Amino acid sequence: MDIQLPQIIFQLVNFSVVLGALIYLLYKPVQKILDERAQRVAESLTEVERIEEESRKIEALKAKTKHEAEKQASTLLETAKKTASQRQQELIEQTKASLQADLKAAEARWKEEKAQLITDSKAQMVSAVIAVSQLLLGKKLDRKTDQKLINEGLKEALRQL
Amino acid sequence: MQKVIITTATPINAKSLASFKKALAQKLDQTIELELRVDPLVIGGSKVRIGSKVIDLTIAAKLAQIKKQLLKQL
Repeated sequence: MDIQLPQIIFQLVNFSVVLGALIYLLYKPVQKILDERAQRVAESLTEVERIEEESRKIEALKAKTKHEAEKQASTLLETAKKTASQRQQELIEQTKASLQADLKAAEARWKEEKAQLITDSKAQMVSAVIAVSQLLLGKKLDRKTDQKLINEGLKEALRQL
Repeated sequence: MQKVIITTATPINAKSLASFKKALAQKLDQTIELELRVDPLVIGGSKVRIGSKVIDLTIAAKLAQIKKQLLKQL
């Protein structure tokens, strides 16, 4: 086996040319593409991190807003309950006062009507007593007594004239 | 002439009437014209009307007065 130096040199040159061509034509573009891709991936990861950060902030804000809303709702509910309770108490007091006033007025009316009824009854009793007296006197009065009364009446009339 | 109306429950006896007419004529110094009315509703006693003046001494008037007083006290 003999070594052919020129052949080896040729092969080396040939290999170098091919290697140079490969490096120039394939490795660098591919490398460039890979670099660009790595750049984009890095940018995407940065964007993802940014979005995640934004998302965390939004979630935190959301949670805070929700907490504040719940707190406000709770405060509003408490206020509303308190107001409703006060209004209910006021209405109860007003109703009680109104009922007491009505009751008092009804009692006053009842007393007035009772007094009027008693007065009317007494008046009717007086009228009845007078009517009975008239009837009895009319029946009991004899002519002689009546003449005596007439004479006294005429004398009194003369005295008054 | 003065007209006098006398209302009674029963007729007045003539003697009392004459006496009254005479006394009244003397007191008023006028001739008296008597009008006699009998009304059982006066019950007893007499009511004398001379012009616008009325002297009511009947039992009905007294009862009415008593009734008025009683009703006033209610």
